[in-house]
Amino acid sequence: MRNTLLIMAGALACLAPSASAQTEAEPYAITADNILVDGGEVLQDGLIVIAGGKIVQVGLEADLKAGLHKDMPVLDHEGWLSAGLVAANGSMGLGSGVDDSTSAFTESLLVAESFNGDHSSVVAARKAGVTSFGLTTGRSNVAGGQGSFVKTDGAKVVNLRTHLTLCMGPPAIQSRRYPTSYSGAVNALEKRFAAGEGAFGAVTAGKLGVTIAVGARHEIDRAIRFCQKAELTGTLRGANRAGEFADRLAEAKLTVIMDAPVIGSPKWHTDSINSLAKAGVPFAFGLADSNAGAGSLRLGASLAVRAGLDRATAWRAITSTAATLAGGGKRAGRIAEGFDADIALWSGDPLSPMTRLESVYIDGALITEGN
Amino acid sequence: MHALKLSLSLTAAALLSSAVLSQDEGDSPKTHEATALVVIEEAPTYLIQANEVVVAPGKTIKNGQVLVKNGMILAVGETVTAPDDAIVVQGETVCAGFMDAWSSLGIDPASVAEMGTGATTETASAVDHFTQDHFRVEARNAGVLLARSQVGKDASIGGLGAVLATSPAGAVVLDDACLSFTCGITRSGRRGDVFDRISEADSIGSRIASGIPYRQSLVEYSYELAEWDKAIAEKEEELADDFKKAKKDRDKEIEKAEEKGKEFKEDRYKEDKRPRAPSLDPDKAVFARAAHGEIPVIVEVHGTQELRALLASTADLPRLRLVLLGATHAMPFAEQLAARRIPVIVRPMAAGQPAEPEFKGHDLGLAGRLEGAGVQVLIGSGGSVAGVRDLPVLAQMAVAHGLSEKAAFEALTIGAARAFDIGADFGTVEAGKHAELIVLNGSPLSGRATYVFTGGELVEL
Repeated sequence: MRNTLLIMAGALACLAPSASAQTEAEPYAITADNILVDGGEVLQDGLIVIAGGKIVQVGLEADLKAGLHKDMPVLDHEGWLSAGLVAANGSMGLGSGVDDSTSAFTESLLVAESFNGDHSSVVAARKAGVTSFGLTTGRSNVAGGQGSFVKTDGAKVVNLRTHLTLCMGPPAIQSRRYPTSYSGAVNALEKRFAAGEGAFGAVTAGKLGVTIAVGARHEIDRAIRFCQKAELTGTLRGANRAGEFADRLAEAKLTVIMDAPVIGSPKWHTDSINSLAKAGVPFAFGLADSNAGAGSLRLGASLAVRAGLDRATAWRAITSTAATLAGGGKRAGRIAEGFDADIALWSGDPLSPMTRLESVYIDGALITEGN
Repeated sequence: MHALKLSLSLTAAALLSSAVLSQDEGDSPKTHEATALVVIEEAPTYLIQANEVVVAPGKTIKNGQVLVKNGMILAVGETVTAPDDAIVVQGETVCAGFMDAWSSLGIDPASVAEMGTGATTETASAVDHFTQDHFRVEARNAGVLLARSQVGKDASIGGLGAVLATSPAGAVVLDDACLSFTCGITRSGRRGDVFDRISEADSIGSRIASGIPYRQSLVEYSYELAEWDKAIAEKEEELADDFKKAKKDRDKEIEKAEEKGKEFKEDRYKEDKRPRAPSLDPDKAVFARAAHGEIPVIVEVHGTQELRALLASTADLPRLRLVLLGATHAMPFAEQLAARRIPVIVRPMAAGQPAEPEFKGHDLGLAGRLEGAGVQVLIGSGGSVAGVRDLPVLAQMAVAHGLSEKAAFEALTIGAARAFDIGADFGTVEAGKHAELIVLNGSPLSGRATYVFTGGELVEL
């Protein structure tokens, strides 16, 4: 890490890795050679001011620095500054509590109640620059439960109820419990949405999002038809082949969470990503349906760019769009005034594999050195 | 000495038979035998103009030019003399094509998973560029123009690896690139305890060493045979000089024997003592090549105990050219690796959540730490097919975590080429070498390939 603290005697105390203390601490500023504000927009020689765990000012160093209070600590970073990465979904911190196997319908289950913020998978995520993610159930139930938007430090739940997870394909369809077929699952869900009770009613009333776990082409096709018939706008997750349905997804106003490409991912995966981008379907990368670690988010965005995706869309897929699809878009994923000070400091352009993560801040507090 | 093969598919040209090339030690390109190369139609000449010609790691020419024809580099410099009809190709950078030192590109998947391979198994026998051709095309389009591929990647002895080209025609560049072993890996459900794994590592040295007495017996046989041939020739000469006298003497002796009623006994000739050839042992013949450094020995090994055993069992084989694959826990042995000039082929991947303890520690920083300790680093995609395309990304990740850019570039080019004895023909941008080249819109590691020259063809991307 090549950060150099300027002068201030209290600066180190201010940057101590204690989130609770930090959010109450006095304001401080970070300058960086480049600040990735959102997508492709880059502020050269930029500066942000952080207070109370929030970003309160963003601009050029030349414009803002003179106006800072003379005692404000300023951290100079020789490199890039960006929003912390956001995984559109993930099951980190859930251990074996991803799904409750007692019933195919556990729609009232709150997955945040199983969240362990100290789990090694959560620690690994923040060491990879992931500062928040959409905590979600698995895909073993037809109605799996309600997801949350959480931070990777301190088990903070930003938004307790973000979406209801549904699955109308394997492994939710099992021979030993109802429903035992795809058509049975669709029928059961249609009845529940028609009844409009509980979580299903919250979805139809627009108070709760809906995410449908899919995999194979027929599952994507079935999910699109189901959403159109039930007049639902939601997100298909695990939809790596969604690009083949890009026009239909755009028409149905559905969004997509897919696995980030990894080393050796098939070309159809990146082709699918490019098709979604071309059709204007919002999409983001998630971790819940992939065996890859949290490091796959940034690598995946980089590989997508290498395969032809524009930088802005790729970056948003692991920050602002991911936060929006995960139910935390008003607080995370952007370097903008009013957003949480979830920040990553990089040795260079974060979309380059040659760049190393140097520091991670969550709610303004230094949480970890990167890996 | 390897037999180097490369089929040149020439644009607008036809070959009645392909060139057969071979190499000597050292990096000076030599064409030993170029037979019956008949070009019916003149192949185009290409003039590559680049802001930076990366001749070799650490050696560049600003605003340079490279002249290419028939798949060969004719000239390199700030300005080169080109014919008027030369096709001009422009780019930011031109450099040697990349080589994946650890792949299974172009190999039938069943052969890659084969567990019954032995020392004489040839990877080249399993080349299948057609079933999964898109992988070859993706690799080529990423600038990865050569790949060392290996069958039996999880077998105790994988056999002879091959270097393949990702040119449109596809080609086996070298069919005896290395002798491959694997030890200590939990492979295909075969998990031994630590003593089994140490024993396995230890046996690699003794197996290779068994080739030395075998080679010695062959040499001794060949010497004795030569002596015998010489003695016979001298005897024949002697008999020819005095044939009549010898015949008269023999006739007299026959007469005497008959007079005495005895049986005539011929003098026994030297051919009765003809030296006996040693029993043929193809495995030991391959081990002998390895022991004498004629081909490198690649060993995939990760754990500390196995590494220690392997290094100890091979310490008394001074001509052995050992190369480690993976080598997750190589750092405690880095000093020895550097002193013995043993390169390590790494796959720069995040540790993640490894399934087996022996893979813990195989992180992105290993390449940089090894370089820092003076160990030569090579980079591979980990024995995969699909991952070959992402070789430059792996190199970039290694650079992000401590490997110098120069070492990373060397690992992908001349370092890999030299390790597998094709450095005389590939790996740098020099006149006389094969024009396996990448033209990029940026630096060699992070730029995007816009053209590749491979197998005598220009491919626009």
